[in-house]
Amino acid sequence: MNIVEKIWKTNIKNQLILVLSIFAAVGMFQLGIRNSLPQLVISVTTAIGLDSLIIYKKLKKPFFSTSALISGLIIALALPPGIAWHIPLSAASIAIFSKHTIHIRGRHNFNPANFGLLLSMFIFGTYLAWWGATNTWLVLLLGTLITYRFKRIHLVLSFFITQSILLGTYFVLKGEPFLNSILMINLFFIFVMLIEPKTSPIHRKGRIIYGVLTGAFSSVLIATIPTLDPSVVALALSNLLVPVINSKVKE
Amino acid sequence: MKKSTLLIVAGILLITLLLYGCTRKEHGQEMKPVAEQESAMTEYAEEVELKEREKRVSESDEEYSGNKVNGVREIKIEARQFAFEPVTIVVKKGERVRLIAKSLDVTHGLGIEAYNIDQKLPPGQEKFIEFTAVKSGKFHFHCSVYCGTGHGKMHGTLIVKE
Repeated sequence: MNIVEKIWKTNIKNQLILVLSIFAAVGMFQLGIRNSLPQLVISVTTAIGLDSLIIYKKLKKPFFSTSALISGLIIALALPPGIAWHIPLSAASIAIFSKHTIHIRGRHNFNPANFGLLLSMFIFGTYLAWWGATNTWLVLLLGTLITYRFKRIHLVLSFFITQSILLGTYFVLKGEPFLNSILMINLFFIFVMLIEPKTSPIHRKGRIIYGVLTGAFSSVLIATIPTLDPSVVALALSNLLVPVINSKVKE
Repeated sequence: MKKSTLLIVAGILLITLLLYGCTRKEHGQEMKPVAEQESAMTEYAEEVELKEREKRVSESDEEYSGNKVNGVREIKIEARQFAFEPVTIVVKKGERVRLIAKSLDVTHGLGIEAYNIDQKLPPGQEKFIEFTAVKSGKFHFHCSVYCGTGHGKMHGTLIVKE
């Protein structure tokens, strides 16, 4: 079995970790290690440390959390490089804390990384640089592959189509080209955060509705509050509706 | 969830909030252009004043970006999807710097973490950001308002030379 086959057959979370690590490496190369590595270290170690501690308290045995590693990576890749240390630390803490405390019907409700980023925006007034997407084409390629592996192409497409149509219509009414709406898609967000399996609906139809709702929320936010990051707010709103979607929409 | 774990997590959050109170970000100050001074002078004094003013305006150093105007380094910076122009800004340590920033298309933002600057740039409006380059080194600035697919690659470098 060659290396590509080995990677393809490996655990899906490990593949996502590999993809995020590639994004981080490319970003660090462009922005400099000194600017970007500290927050990666802080975010990842905080997330893993806290999650492992909480799980150890529950299970009474050591546990390495790959989910926490993913959350830590996402948080670090979204926050601006060079940010004060307490912000990635707080965002990662909030993410893990929300994962273990905010539950509806036995499932944690909010995408942990998204929740951590959202609260950081409001508490610290920080902005999101999304430097994990310094290379658009790389994100498009690897993002599509990972979305395919997660079997969430339909979710990404439903978001993409909804936002493109709604925002495109808005732009046309403003006298701007329809295709400008395509330029507003946050590729890192849709390929990495939107597809998160535990906080998105269980059934396929539900996930399509979820993608449509997130795309709609995002479009409204871009049109009305352009200074607010639309992706994290839209996803949090959609996460709130997941229990309703799960109860109403069955396969 | 056990009480002790809850206490640990709450403790971390509390410490962070306390630290936030000590390190709150100040947004970039909007500045108006240098105001002209009015003075009651004699004709002769007015002539001298005019000659002095012509000497001070538009000193430019080739090594550094922009122009020096009355002791302040003024640099024009434009933001568009998805790049800043210029992408590199070079200033001298200790200088007072005035960035005249403008967005050419959608709402952007100019964020310089090292100097606690986060200025929103609505389309077509000039915003003035003043700061003193107290720290030498290479710092990155980023677009601080989500502006589209290429937002993640919209960054530049501020070089503060000794």
